[in-house]
Amino acid sequence: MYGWHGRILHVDLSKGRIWNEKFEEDFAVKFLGARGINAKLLFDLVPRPGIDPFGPENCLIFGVGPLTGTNCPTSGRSTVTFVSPATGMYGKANAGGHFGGELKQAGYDNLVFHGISEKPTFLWIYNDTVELRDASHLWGRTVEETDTALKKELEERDLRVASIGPAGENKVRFAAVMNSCHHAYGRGGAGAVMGSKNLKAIAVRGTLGVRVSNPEKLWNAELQAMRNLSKDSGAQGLHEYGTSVSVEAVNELHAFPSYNFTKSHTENVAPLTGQRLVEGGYLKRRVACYACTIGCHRFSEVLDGAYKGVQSGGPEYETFCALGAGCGVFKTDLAILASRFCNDLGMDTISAGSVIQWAMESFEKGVLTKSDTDGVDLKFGNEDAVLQLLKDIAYRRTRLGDLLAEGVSRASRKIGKDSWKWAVANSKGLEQSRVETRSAKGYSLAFAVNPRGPDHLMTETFAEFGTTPEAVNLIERLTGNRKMATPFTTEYRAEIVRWHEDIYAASDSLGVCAFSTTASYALNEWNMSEMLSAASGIEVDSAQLMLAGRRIVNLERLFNTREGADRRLDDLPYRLMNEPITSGPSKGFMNSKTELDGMLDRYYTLHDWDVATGMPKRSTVNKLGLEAEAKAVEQWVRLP
Amino acid sequence: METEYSIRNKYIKNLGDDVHRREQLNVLHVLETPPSAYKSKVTGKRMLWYIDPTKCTGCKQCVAACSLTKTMRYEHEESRIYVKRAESLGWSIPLVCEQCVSAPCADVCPVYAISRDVETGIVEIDLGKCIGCRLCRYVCPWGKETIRIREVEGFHGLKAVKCDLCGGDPACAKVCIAGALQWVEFTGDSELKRTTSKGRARDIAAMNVEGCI
Repeated sequence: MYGWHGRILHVDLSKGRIWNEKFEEDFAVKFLGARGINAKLLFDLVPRPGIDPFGPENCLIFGVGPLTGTNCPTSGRSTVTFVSPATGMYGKANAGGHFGGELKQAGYDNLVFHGISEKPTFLWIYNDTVELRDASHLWGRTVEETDTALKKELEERDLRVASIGPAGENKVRFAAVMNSCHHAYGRGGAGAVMGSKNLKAIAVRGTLGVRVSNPEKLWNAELQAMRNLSKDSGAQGLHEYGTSVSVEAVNELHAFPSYNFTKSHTENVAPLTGQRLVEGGYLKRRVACYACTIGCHRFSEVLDGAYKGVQSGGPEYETFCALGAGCGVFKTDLAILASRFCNDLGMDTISAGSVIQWAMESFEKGVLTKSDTDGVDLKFGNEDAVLQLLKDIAYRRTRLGDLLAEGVSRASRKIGKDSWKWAVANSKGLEQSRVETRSAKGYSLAFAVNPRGPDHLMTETFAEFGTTPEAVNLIERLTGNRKMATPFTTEYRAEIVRWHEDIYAASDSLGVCAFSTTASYALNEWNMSEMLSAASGIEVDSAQLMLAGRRIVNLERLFNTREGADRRLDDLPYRLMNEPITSGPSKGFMNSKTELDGMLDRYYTLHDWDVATGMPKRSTVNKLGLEAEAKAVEQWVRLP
Repeated sequence: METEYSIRNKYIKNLGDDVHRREQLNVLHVLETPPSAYKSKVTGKRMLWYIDPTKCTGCKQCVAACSLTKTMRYEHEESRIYVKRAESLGWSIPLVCEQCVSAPCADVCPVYAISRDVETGIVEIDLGKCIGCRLCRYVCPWGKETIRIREVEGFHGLKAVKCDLCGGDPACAKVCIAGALQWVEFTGDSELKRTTSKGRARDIAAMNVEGCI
């Protein structure tokens, strides 16, 4: 088998049993890899709905794609899939770093953890030699300490480690699994699942390599893709200034949410931009994930204050927005420090920022009082409180920290008093990423139907802004009308979202980064399928690739359907549905039920799903070759 | 006075010592030794490495490209170029054979298998003579990972293999979009090259003190 290894490594933590499972080419082509095969494995291994995400039935599945390990640019992304403790439904998180590439070199496509270990443990993979070892001495340590300690202990400089920090150990519902120190499998609480399994870390070293079918063809396609990528202005901007390159521009559009989405524009946003990181000398190094020729990851240093000299990966756009502007703190140093705290403690910066903003607003509205916060004046802009809260949440130390560690949905339910109205999370229960959806209708539809909760990294319809000629061309291809490249209309959003869903599922499954497919368009379905064909030796054309993407989207939808999700959960946070934008060119814009319903109707129709319930029709999934899965779902829920 | 012989003895004496001492020695060596240029047999152009470690993002594209060129597989262990990374420091440096002018690997080779091709300037290993003793690996200023000990088809036993500049057109330089590895024409400005070599040596030394192991 070429491209894939065809091997899944299973680890039963309860029994300490380790075994290999093989898969065949037709299975691989059907589900592609990483995200696709992970989804299939989770669907099969978690056979009934409503399991406890922290229980032994939940599985934690890592996966790498068929292109990972090769020269294909930006192909270092790996996926982890699980039942999310934040939503109780399908959970998936995707990260770069070097862990995925190393796992592929070690000869595995997927890595599945079952059960719960009795005592803290870590998994040590050296090609075919796989063993579980005691991790009592690592328990309680931060991510970076764990990484360094494992490299020393195992005497391997080139070891790649994925581990959890104290947040994961304490089952904070938005804890992340961190790999290569600073790359997070952030969303949905993968770290909490790993912590519940008493699994501290996975250390991988691989020397087996990846076989490809047609090296010459693959090499030429890869060089071409690299040339495309290096010419692309979007990719150049990402390399130069990181993901926060666009903060200034987004702020000018009044779409940079601050103060928990009550403001969309900030006067002095300069300290929170990628440009400031570079010009202010905060940036120490531009770092790339495995095989990435963009290199958007930052490595920065705090230049001033008590923590002077502290260095960390990041901060990214979302960190600046969630832990900077969102909390009303406009200091570069603090953003870097908050990013460092989240990296080290192992938390998702989006959700962490989100709960802190919610607590700050609750405090200002008098819902939380000083007796709740242990006397801390938790007003917007209190930078010390942000740092203190991050620690409190990760260690569940104070009463407030313990409350916030449950995420905004659960916390607002516990506190009551209308506080759910400013909890920016939708019915699925995940905190929304800090992206303005009120003035971008494609985004709002994509966020609503996202299987893991409102989030931009499952389907980011960036093209609808029409910022580059390529984006406008894409919109024209999808809708037949160049004028549709505007985010303010609801027309044709369903078409745009559905295409993006397919390409995201396909690229995630191949291991390719979304920045090269939908933020810069250097890689598209044609050259991805060309590379897949060359790597695997199986002819896969672009239509087949996109169809596989759709199959994966349907499978994820089926998983959630079995968990009892339907159209009612495809909604948006209350604040974004009922409170308009207060300033700027899109003043007065908001999402309304009519608008969203209209888009959802069209979206379900396009997918050939049942419009009334939002469930996939039996005939639809059968057409996609998911008969067995449909049957499994029908034991619990009748499909229309 | 240091003769070729005494240098060789010095290296051998230090063999088997811990990593740090070895690399300290290497750094000293690097500071004294300017790398040489490669002269193409076809075009007559003199080319050399321009390596800027500050630009390296640690993506390992060069490693993948090298392994594909040499083995037609993506097996990073086979790569003749090595990217040294210290993740917690955000550091990464590409290390590759620089065809040193006074090549320590050639100095220590007990069977005189390593020599310089006078025409092209490439330091070559004669696999027929090589006994796979790893001495060259231990004394290489750029770290032991730049020389691999492998079984090679057509030869008996283990052999040392290293970068051969892909015959004058290195694949790794083609995929380094960040510009850390550049294969540039030699214009006589060797001082530039020496400066970067020194800088890199300092980087490596720093990494060994603070880095992962």
